[in-house]
Amino acid sequence: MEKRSDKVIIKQLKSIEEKEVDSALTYLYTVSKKTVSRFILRNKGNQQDVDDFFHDGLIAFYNLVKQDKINPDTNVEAYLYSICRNMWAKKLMKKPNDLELNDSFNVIKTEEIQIDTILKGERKNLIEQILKDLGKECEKILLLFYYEQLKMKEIVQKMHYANDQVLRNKKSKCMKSLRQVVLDSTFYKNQLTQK
Amino acid sequence: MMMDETAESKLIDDYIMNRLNKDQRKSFEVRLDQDPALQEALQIRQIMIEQVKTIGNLQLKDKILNIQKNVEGKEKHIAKRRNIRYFISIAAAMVVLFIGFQWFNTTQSVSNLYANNYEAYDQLRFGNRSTQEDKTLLDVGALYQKGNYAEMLKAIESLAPNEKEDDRIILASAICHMELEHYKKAIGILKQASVQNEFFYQDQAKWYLALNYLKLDQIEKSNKLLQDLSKTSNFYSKKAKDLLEDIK
Repeated sequence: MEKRSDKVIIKQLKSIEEKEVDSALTYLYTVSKKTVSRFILRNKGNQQDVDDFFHDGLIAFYNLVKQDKINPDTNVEAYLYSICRNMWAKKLMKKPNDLELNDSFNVIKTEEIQIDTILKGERKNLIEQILKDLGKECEKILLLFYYEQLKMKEIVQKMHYANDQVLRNKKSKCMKSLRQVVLDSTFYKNQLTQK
Repeated sequence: MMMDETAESKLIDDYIMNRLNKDQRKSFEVRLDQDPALQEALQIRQIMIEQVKTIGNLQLKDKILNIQKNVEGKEKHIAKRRNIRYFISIAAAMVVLFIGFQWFNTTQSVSNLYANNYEAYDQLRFGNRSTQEDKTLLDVGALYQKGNYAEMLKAIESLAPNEKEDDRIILASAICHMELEHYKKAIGILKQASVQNEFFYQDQAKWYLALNYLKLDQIEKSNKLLQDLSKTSNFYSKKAKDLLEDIK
């Protein structure tokens, strides 16, 4: 696979074109997994751990890129490796430096790389209810706005709306539906009682 | 005091998504401290956005699992092709080695048969010095007896035409060529001589011709001559039979 510069990878991950994002993710998967795999397998992990932690690490890295928290001059492969390493260290209840040599990415905050992709109980029910009630169009609008963090104009272009106002109205309706599902959920009610 | 819903929602979104500048953020937090309705609105908005982000992460995870399948599928495919190429290479190498081994064995055995059976014919007598003609042949013959085969071939060139047709000279020149590994030249001379009924050394010519064919791996031609010889009752009959056995 042809080597890509870090700037190109970050630009692709930020792109509104899905194929650009897919291409960058495939590239990162291909070039980075072996290094992460060696580290986890050397430190009491198995192949399933490698898959789980590398996937979550890649998701965390993607989120950081979308939130503009990655400097364009960052060494992408090293940063991704550090995220996975820190996640695995946390799982082993060890400091990252106890596992590997020091590097400049130990400043990554744990909360920034905390990924919750295994859902249980009320939380799982809530997500399932949202996906059921919201509809595909709303799901896409909200994902593009809050997850992909695209600007309104980019979403208008991507979803072929007539103008910003049409999108604003649609988004407002989608948020009302989402709000209602959340308010009705046991998950939310339990959150209130915990306070 | 709450703003209108759209403006308020946008402000809360910008706060959650860290899109406010320092002053806007500070101002929002001051309001937040004093406004329970805003606190509640922020709390529910955070939970809503958190759920959207979770859905995004779940979808991204699915996408990564698909990438994993594709990448690992390709790697397996490449590894499979590499293995197939590897096994084909090994098989080809084994075939080449086998053929080479067989060829080496055959070549070795044919070479050995030739070496075990060939020796320069030593019964040629080139007369006495009573006549000029005999003297010349005697000089040429001396080169043969001494094993100076290249010199002898040069000397034959200078002989008179009738001397060149002498049966002894013809056989000696063929032997000289065999000694010098000019097998095809030897074959040319012996082939012609062996079919002439009046040629005195006809059996010798057949024997040496058979050896030449053997050396050049023309086994069938060699066999045919040896079978002819084996049916005779001369010196070469037993030698031919033995050689035929060895060739088998």
